[in-house]
Amino acid sequence: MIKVRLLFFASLEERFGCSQQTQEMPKGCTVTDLLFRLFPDPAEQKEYHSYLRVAVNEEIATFDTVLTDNDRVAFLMPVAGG
Amino acid sequence: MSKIDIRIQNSPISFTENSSVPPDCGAMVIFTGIVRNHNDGKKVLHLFYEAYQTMAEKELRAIANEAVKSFDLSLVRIIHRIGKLEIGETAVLVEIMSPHRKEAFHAAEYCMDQIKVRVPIWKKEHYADGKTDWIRCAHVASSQRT
Repeated sequence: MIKVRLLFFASLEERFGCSQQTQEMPKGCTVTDLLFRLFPDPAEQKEYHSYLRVAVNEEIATFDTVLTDNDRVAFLMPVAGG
Repeated sequence: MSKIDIRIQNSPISFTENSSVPPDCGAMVIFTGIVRNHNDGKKVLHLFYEAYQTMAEKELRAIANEAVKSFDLSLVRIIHRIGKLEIGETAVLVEIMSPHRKEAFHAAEYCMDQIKVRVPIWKKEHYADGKTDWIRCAHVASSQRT
């Protein structure tokens, strides 16, 4: 098993009621696996997968990225800076 | 002198005429993004900005570096506020110094366009009717340039 540190911002922080949490995941899991763990409802999985972006260790990553122990993962809602 | 100055801060952004203008600089363009009192037909009372700060600073630095190289600039300064902002306050400042004005104008526009799609900062609007909304402007884009 590996430990992944999730970071939440904006509406996701409100949704989960915290700015970070740790998830224990199977070795070899992907970002998609983590997304499905957070959102067990298939309709939500499809919705969030369509517009969330993901950063792994502060770099934009793809959903098929394989996660490793102690990775920091942030699911990013569409941004609104500037 | 460093050509890049990046800050994300809670305190109000103030800018005064720069006292250390590089000797090769012939033009300075300053853009400020200001909190306005309306959006999408709704009356806005105030905003709240939140950032993934470490990644946002990294992305702002990348944008500034690209601008310096692409437009041959003397200085890029980008300051973004986070936290609660009232109407009329400055949310973002982009300051460009360059030998010539054409590059300065284009670089300021480039920086703002990139900030809006690449930087992990989010904005929550608080409306006069008591409702709030996290605004979605754009997906976070990759900083990988081809």
